[in-house]
Amino acid sequence: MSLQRFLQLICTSLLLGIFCGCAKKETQPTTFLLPWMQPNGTYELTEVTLMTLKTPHEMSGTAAQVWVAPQLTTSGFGGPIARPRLTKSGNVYIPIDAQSSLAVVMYAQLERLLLFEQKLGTAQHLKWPRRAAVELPVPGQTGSATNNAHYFPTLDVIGILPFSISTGVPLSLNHGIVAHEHFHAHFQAAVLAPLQKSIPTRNPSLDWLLDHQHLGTTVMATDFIFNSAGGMPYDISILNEVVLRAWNEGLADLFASNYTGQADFFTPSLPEQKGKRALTEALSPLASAADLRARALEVPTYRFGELLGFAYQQGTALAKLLYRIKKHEAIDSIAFQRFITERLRTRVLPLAAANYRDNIMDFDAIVPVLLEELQLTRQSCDALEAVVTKNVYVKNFAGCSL
Amino acid sequence: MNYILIVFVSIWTWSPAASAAVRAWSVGFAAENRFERQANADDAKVEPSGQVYAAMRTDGRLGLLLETGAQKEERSGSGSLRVVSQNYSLGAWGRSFFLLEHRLQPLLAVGVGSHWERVTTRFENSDSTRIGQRYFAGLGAGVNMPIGNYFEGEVEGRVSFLEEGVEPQYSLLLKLGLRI
Repeated sequence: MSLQRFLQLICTSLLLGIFCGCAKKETQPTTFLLPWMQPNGTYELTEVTLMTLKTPHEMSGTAAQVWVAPQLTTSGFGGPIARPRLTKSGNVYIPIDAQSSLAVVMYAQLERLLLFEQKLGTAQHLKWPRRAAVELPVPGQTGSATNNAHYFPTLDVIGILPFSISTGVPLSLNHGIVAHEHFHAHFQAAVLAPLQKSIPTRNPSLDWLLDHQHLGTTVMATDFIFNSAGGMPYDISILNEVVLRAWNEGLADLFASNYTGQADFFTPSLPEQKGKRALTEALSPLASAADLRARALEVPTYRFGELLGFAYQQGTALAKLLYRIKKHEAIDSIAFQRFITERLRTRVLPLAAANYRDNIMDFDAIVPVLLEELQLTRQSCDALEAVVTKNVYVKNFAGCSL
Repeated sequence: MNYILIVFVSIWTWSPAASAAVRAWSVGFAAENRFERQANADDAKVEPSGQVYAAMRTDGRLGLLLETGAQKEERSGSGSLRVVSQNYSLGAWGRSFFLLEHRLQPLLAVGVGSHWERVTTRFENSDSTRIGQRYFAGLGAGVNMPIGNYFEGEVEGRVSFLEEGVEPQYSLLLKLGLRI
């Protein structure tokens, strides 16, 4: 072998060595520079260390799997798991484009939620890794939908839609909004899915309708089972779906507040929500079944979305009440969230199952099943009196009358 | 990795082939189109960059090329998040030419080098500028041809493997050089 050939062999070996080095697995933990929420609720760039990623170059680990702008399919998300474009400055990985940053932050939030759930003792109620997408393309009424986030119950995935506002915190970076969507998985697992099993004719459900709308299936509100008896355009179970949606949304707001420590986590992303969904706003009464029935009589089936809007309002009213009681009772956020989450399966599910087909539930029916074991202070009693009907107050909170 | 780069260049420089009489030097410009996969790996963008290079060829079939370049600034954002990044690179490529008696001479190349990325991130009321570094090793294949008595043109396709990278990076280069 000539010397020249020998030297060429050495060069080739060196290159092969480099390629092999490229394939090595990262060791944990891994630190990223990310847009991140601070303890006071503001957002700024922060070095965040993650513990559960297999490699910084793919957003897949024990906490989550994250996709960027995937296709929504009947089994979840199609296409490859997000591979952020990164560079390394010292021992810190820097995302070199916005989509990469969104993907890493989504993983990081779900890792933090896993830790939170482990503190609560509720992590085992859900399947991990959680699946989530950022920049999810979803058809809207005109073009693509934006500035929204969904939990898809039949798929058990979170999808954050593109953010079209030029200022503020994108929804996928907002810890409160991601936590809110995450909580829906608990309500699904503890209440809605068992309800579906116990009442097999609960089909098509509201969840099914919403998921299939996003999947592009042409589904109309009239696909529900509508019993038109007595001039009522909706079946009782459909109106109970509205009540369940209110509870689901309200408890999701409460969960997000307990997780973030913030009473108003929407405003950094959606300033128009300021004063509407902040949990420190004035209390408002929860509606009765009669109120819902009266409202439903005025809303034809093709305007079913208006009833969903009503559900969100009622959800906020419930969340504000529970937030206020947590404050008045000086209960630790983790302890209070554990208290609430544990009651989903043991108290809320039996309540829903007992009434789902035959009786429209009052929106405040959930309050006693969540709180009846607490010895409430005068301030909490006053809050309850302002929100629940007199009947529920007198019947279930006798301690308040003493 | 820095040592690998130095060793690599040294071997080529001090090899018997390279120490033979240098037949030709050339300097020139190159336009590189790099196929950059996105965070959704199904998507890829072509990122153009400009380079300058200096190359030498020996009496034999071997040569060495040193190049440096800068990629076009890339801007992206969502809400108040704004990311501006720019890539700079430095590489050394050993090259072997074939069909020396022909006007069109195919070439194969192996190289190592480094990318530097300057990333400025702004979010809400905070901002940060960081410079990151990633080494690469690559293989190339192309064709070199003289243009008149003083110029040369070259087309080269490359595949590069980035440090810690999970997939190869592909690029296409068009070069125009002055023979000196």
